[in-house]
Amino acid sequence: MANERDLIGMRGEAIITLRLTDGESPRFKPTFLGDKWSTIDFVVELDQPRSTATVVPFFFMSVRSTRSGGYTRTHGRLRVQVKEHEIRRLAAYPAPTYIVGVDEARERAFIVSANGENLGGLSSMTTRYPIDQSTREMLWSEVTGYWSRWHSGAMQSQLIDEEWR
Amino acid sequence: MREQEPWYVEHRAESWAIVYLTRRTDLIVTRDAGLDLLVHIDTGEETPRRVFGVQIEASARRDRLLCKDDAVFPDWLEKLASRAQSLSFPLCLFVFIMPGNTCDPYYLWLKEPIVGPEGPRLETNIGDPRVQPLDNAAIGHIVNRINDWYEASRPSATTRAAASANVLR
Repeated sequence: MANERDLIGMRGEAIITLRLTDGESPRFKPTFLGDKWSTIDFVVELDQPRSTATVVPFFFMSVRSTRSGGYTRTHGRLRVQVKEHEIRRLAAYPAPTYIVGVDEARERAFIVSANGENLGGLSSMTTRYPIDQSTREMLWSEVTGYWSRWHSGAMQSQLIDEEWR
Repeated sequence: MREQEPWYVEHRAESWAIVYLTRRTDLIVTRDAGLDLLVHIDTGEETPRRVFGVQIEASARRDRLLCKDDAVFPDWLEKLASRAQSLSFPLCLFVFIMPGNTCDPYYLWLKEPIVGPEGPRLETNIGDPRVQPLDNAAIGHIVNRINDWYEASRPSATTRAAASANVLR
């Protein structure tokens, strides 16, 4: 039997990339971080016309995949787990952060906010938001809305190149 | 030089290739420095020894990769095949045509595993540019061909094939 961990990793990553980039003109640019970052699996940049962008919106995703976990009987929730300390860490990032559950057998992915609305651990997650066109529209709207309220003046560095013109 | 493809074409093509391959639980897919993907076939041994390579090409426009009769451009095939000359394991080309929201996948052997009367051999494809549709059945066919070639290449099998060929002569 092939190594289950390796199998789920690449397959889950590929399914998420496809679901985020489905559509006529994909607007989400996902980058898989792999083992480089313990809590975050993907950073996703929103593709905007360079001429109009004053800020590059992005968000983080933490991914849980299941090939055999299935769904709960009562509410059809995807059986994936995220521990409380991981939820708290995700909520602590000052950028939009989401948990994505991947049903590898059916090649579907579901997304839910991890921005501090709930801080307990997860033993299953809602399937209310499959990553489809409707959810992508919602995601785009809320991530761009978040970054539209951000202002660059908050950052003032001492690491200045005085000769930079 | 080929006109630049939309940014998502390469990402989606690689993801489609991985999704197709990993629908099978006996295939372990990794990214490789020289090839796009390296695939090990899990036969239950502690260290999987059967391997094949996958090269991926994709375009949003069919006419950039395929000419009429569902064939890759002959000069392009020659270039791809020449890169495969030094390989000692099978190599497949996966071609993804992705106009809009659709995906038409195809495959072609670049280094084809063949088991003939004189035993197993690997043949670099320099003459047949026609692609075949890629689907789950095609992946099964690819894996079966590769498994047959590895089986025939095992030392005892090779000895039997050589002895049989001598008898026929």
